[in-house]
Amino acid sequence: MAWVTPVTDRTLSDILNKETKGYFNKADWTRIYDNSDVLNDLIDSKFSETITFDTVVVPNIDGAPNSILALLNTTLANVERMRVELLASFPFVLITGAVEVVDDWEAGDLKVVPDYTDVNEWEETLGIMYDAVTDASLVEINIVDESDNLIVDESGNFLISELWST
Amino acid sequence: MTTGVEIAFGIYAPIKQDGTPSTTDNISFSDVDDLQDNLSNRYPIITLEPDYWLLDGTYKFVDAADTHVGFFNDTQSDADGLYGSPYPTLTIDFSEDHDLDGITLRFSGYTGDWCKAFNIAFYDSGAGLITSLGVAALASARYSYSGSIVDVRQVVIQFYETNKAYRWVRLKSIDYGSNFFEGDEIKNAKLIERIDPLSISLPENVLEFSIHSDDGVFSPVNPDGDWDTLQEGMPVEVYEILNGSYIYLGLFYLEDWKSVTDYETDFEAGNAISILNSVPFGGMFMSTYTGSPGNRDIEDVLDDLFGLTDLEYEIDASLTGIDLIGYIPAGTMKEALQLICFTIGGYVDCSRTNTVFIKPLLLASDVVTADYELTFAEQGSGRPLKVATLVTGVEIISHEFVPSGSVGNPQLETLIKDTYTNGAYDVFVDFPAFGIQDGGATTGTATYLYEFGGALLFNTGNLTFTVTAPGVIDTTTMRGVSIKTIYSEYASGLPSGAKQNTVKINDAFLTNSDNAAAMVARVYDYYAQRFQPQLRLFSPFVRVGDSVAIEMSYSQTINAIVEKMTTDLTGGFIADVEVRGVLA
Repeated sequence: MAWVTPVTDRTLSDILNKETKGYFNKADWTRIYDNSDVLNDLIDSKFSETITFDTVVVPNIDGAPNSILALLNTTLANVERMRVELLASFPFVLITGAVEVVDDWEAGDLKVVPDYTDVNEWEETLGIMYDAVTDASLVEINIVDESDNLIVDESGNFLISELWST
Repeated sequence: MTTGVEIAFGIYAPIKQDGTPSTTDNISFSDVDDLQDNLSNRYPIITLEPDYWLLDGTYKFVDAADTHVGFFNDTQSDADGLYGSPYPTLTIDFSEDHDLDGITLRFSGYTGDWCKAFNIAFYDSGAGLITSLGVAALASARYSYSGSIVDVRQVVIQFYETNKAYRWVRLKSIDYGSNFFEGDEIKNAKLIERIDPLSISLPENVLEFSIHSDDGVFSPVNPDGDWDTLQEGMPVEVYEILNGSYIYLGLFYLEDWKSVTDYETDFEAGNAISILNSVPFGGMFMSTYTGSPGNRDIEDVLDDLFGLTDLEYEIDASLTGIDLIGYIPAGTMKEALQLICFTIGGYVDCSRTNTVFIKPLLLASDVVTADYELTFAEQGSGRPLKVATLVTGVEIISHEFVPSGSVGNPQLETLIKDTYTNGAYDVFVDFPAFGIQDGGATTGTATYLYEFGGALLFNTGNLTFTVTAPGVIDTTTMRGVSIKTIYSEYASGLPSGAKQNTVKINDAFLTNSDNAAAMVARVYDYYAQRFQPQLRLFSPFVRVGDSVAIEMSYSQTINAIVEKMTTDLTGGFIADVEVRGVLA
């Protein structure tokens, strides 16, 4: 499947005027899930890094309401795992602006639920990660000296992490 | 967010309580009893129906254990909003015939979803069709029919079409009438909801409101008006209208009303507690003294009590299985219930429901995760913080009842001694009485009927007896006398000269050696919750009995339990909230 441009511009006006963009529909969920899958494959193919990706069958419009929470949390956990892994293992992949994706929403009248800003953030985070991974490339360098703060190649050039991605 | 209030007069509530809804077409988490109990959730549940889950943060994920959706069927309508046959069907069965002033159905106004086409059929006790109402193009989330329908034993509603494509039926409530006031007709309305977590008292909720009617519907001099139909105890139900959705605020009973002008009338109504306060209770005595029939299970006692009224009650599972021993003095049912709740560590909450709920005491110090977090921004301006007077000790006197006199030499007291002809009589016994026996002068014959379960010899109140052979009836009893013991707990480490302030409870007649210590600890711990911040909330989620975590100055948080809410129902649902709690 192909990457689909995320929707990140939901506004309060969409909510107040009850525009289609103000609703969370199956198409939104499908796009988020499929884009997560594409990104996961991209990370795998580019960095040879396999990040756990749990399969979710996005519910149909008549999907059981009491199954939605678990499936949505699983979907979001896929996104969050990639974000955490990129930060931890691939610091040269700059994902500034990618925010933590909450993946433990809870059921009940008293619980906080996602609103349009959360859904924007889910898709923004996915987009930022996808762009960063797409742009990143690994260059094979023979490192001869590595200390706490310095990385020096065999020609004596100091390397900093930003250079790794160029 | 738009808010409003609707007030429904009349006799609808008892009819609703008698109507048992049933269906085979509901989704797994839908319980149609919600329609009878008015328990439909305030907020919509999250589904994936097209353009349904609005991302405004108010739609909630289904909690299978605590989701109340009313009637929510299991098959969606099609692209044209139509259901196929067999159509989703809801049946309401009554135990007796009812004359209805009409019928009102409320769908999901909050989300803008309703059934556009449906049929309501009314049947008599012989399953004969009385009449049916066919609705083809409902244009809003509420349907009201105001015609008279008599001798109704069953109502069957079939749903044919939704106003939007691919939708489930969302029926939130049913009322068996249509006499409602809302909008400009309600000049002002104030709702006061209270609990006493300790049950030292049993406060009632109060609804005050003014109705304006251009037709002078409540004018005492309007010959076509309804003034004469008003009567003390008439049920009044109240709904909050939140973004078009009707949220049940409770069932009240008319207590007082006065005509201000020909067009405006003031009303005051109390909740179920006011009914309990008007029901006399003859008293009850339970004893494990040698030869006595013993203690009684809490639910048996409550069944007896509520059997005196038409009210329904529910008791939290954690409070069941408790045995009561001791004496409930004659008085009112409210006083009896308050004593029972104090004894078991429970309290009564009738808010936002038509049922009397008995819930367990929750101390703020035991709150791990509060139901709601209230930030500075949510608390309103000012936020005065009151700190309750320090309680330095608690003393509770227990009462173990034994027969008067001494062992082998009981002191008998005459209960009945007179000449009677055949017939039924009552004698009022306002003390704990250990059974009855012949006083020796009896020449007639009498049989005795003891209230609350016949075989129980130790009830007091009205002792009914039937004389079957005339003559002297001489009946004695042994008066129960209390052996008193003081149970106590006092604060330690107080500075010298600290003023002593001891709470003393002398009339807890269900207290004994088995439960007194726990009772003292509960009272002491309750009064140790001294922080009472005053809050003002706008259209709050919270209810009385909820726990809240309140953001305070100096990075402090107070965990507290909501004890009182005074809500301006016509002024934007602004609620003044009183709580009691501790620093977290």
